[in-house]
Amino acid sequence: MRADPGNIATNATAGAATPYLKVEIQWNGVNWIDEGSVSGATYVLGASGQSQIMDPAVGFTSLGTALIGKATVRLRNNTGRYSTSRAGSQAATLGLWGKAIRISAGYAGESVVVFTGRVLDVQEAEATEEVTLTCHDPGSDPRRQKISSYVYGVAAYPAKASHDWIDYVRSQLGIASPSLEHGLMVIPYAWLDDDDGLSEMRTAASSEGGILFFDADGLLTFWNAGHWADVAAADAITVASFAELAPRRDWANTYNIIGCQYAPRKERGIEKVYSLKRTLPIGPGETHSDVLNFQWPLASFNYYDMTVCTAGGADMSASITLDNATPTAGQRWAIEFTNSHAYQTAYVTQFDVFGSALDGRQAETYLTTNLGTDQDRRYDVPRNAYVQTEEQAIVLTDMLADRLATPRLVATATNMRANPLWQLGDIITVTAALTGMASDFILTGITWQWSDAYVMTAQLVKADLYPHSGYFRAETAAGVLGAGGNVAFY
Amino acid sequence: MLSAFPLVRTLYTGDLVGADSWLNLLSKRNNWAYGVAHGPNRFFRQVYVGGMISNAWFGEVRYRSEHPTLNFSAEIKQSAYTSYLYYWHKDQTWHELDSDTDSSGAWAWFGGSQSMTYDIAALSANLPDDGMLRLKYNSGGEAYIYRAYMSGTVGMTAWPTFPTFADAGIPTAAQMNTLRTGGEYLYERACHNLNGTTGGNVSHSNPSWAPLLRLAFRYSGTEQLRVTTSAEGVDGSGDGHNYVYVEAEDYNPDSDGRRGGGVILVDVDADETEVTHTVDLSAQSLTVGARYVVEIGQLNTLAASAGYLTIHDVALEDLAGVTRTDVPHVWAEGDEILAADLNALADDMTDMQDDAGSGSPIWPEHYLASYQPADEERGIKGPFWGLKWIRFTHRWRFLRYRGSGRICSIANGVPPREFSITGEAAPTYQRNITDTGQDEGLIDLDSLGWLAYGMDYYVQDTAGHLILCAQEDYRA
Repeated sequence: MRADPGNIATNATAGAATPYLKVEIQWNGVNWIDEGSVSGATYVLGASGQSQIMDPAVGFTSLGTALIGKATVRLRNNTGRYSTSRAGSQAATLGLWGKAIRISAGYAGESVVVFTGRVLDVQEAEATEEVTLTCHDPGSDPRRQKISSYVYGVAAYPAKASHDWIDYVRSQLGIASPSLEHGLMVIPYAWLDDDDGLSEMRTAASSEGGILFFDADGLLTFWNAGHWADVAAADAITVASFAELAPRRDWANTYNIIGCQYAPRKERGIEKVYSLKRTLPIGPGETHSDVLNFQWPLASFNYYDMTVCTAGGADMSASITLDNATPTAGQRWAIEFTNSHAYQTAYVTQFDVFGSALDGRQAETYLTTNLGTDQDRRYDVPRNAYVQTEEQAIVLTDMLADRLATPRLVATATNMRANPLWQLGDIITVTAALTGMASDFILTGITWQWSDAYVMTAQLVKADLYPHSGYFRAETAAGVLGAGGNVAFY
Repeated sequence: MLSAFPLVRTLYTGDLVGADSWLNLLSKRNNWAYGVAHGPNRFFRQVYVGGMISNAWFGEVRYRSEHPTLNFSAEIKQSAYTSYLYYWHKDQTWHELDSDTDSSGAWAWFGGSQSMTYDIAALSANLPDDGMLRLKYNSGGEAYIYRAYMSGTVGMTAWPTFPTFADAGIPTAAQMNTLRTGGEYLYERACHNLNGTTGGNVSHSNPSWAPLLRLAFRYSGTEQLRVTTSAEGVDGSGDGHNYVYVEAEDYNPDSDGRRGGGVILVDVDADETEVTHTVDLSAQSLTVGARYVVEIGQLNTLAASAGYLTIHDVALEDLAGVTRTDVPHVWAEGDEILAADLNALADDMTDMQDDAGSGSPIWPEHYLASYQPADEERGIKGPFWGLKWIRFTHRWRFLRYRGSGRICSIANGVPPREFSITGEAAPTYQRNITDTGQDEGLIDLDSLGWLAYGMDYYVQDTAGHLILCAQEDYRA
């Protein structure tokens, strides 16, 4: 739950207070400009949005598959403020596509932020004098970036816990101020080779059953698999809170055998990982830029062999300089060859790179069974390059074996008077007499709409993810040793 | 088997402490370290030099910046010539590291001290591209090379101060992390190169005692010596003997009496097929943490010959009755975490610490591999040397070697055909190896499908080829 600036919690249930919506755009990339609230200003007509940490189309096994949060904003465009083709308009002057946008909602003039992202599409309407902005949370940005790195996990770049690796990747992406819980497991080897940063961070998170998403404030957030252990309910709803509550059992995601494939990595001896396959001519005084892609990532670089000569075979090694004397990433070398000779073209006829390569060992599968007398129902954890050890697979499968053992209770509460204080992951107590609901649920999805009213739909998953309570947490009141003390997590 | 050592994250305040995600990983680390600490170990091969001779001893090891100090101990007796210790420079010549001009004609310590140390870090830029530290000793007279190893722990994990965990108490994250740090400390020290045991057919024809093999080790307190030999041509009169002794590391027959008046640990005085002799070293009044040497030699008398002794293997291993005091607990999700189990983890690690008072220590000492004595020109006095193989118990992934020969399996527990007196059996698997001359040979043993960790194998001379030295290394 977000902190209540005043009376939002009360007004969210009272029904009388006037809904309030605020849309801000960072036109200059620095300052938030209020586009005017509905209750008093000119431009904002309505908005809607959704955010999820579980794909409802897939079900409970997708917990952790956070979809990119989206929002749609409808604005009055009677002055052409949002028309980039209209000379002199705000949008024409400063641009609109890609601008940071923030939406706050609440009641009676009070609001909290419910979405932060960027404007990714602008749909104008001439006759109705409106514009619709389609916005994505910051997860859209790293999807477009490709990044490379050295190999972590070898002597020079020590192995990282999953959150350390996520933190490294997000720093390469330029994502500031993340909110990262500590990962449970260490990823032995990790590297990037022109990879999609968001996808890599998500994969690293899911390698230990964690969740990665951007929250309403646009903060990159990582929760480990124990995020909800011993967490108390943040709020409660009853039949008075929603128009409909639709609980169901997720039979489709019930399994009693969990398989997880892991692929150990190993460092090899020193060998050639790259060999130039063509002659590279570099004219006098010219520079040639190239990216050398290695056959395997280098755990360590040792040396390179280079032969440079004239077309007649005379040695020209003294005329060639390299801008980077060592590889610029684990599996690639962005390199520039400069020929300083005044009139001879230099031909690079050999460029071999040697080092200790990293490659995969034969993959293995770890199985946790929870059979009882029932028939086999096997779930295989999607292959994950960051799951490299049996220890990682054990933790992952043991956890899933407990979670998927019985059909999990999921529920959808629709047409609720929206409570903008609710955040993904909040524990909500749901009470409904007819369907017998009296349990804590995790809020896994929020869909909200602000037009004539401010309503939302909540997707909920029963919160009993862990067999025990009172888990041991280091150096806290829940970190008591001994009989009657706290107990070990997975 | 490095990959079997699990990685464990650092614990921070508020972090969940899990069974398989944390505690059991610590247990697995302890189990790994215990296995290394109590596994079969072999030796630094000492060399005796009979007189003034160049190229009397060679040894080599991969230089690593964590272990920058060369420890060298040699006892010399010379009256007219100078002794030199050289290292191999990347300019492809030998450079002097030290020399000794003592001309007293009496036994003295090379360099003036029994425990000479040299800072190789200062020379590391001069080492050849393969990173090997190669030493050569030119003798100015008689000499015993007692010790040559690299030490130091630069940049390595420091030994943690384990708290005493108490039930009903709340340990800090830092206190919990000492259990993680201790494992890393042991891991880093367990990663040291391994020498094999030199073996082969040995004999000498002089009517006297002559040592054939001197194998130095540091005593850890719970070991037995395992010597596997066979003998042929031993005079049946009982006057020809093949003896095994344990002596102080710096045992010099010219100036020292034998330990305990010369307790003979093994006596092969008749022909025998392959026999494994075990000696409980705990009964030999050895000091834990002190250095000793296993001496194997032959006594021929005028009337009798000790024949040909085939040294199949010499190794140190745990005594049969050794038990582990603190066996790590295995936790399950939902288990209470008892202080006693955490304390046991700490105690178990303390037992494995490289401390003279601890049992089964893992010493961070990287011994140089002594070259094979190719012939008597190497300065070996007396016996005929037929030391043709180096036996390993496979532990680390990479094999460094110099020379040419083969790596071969052990068929039916007996050594390969060429040098076996009895039990003729060819190796099931073999791979020929040769180095490139200037650089040492390096082979990734994982590439040998038939060689599993824990399996014994030989690195062996073959006809016309010579293996000068071999070591297993944990890193390429």
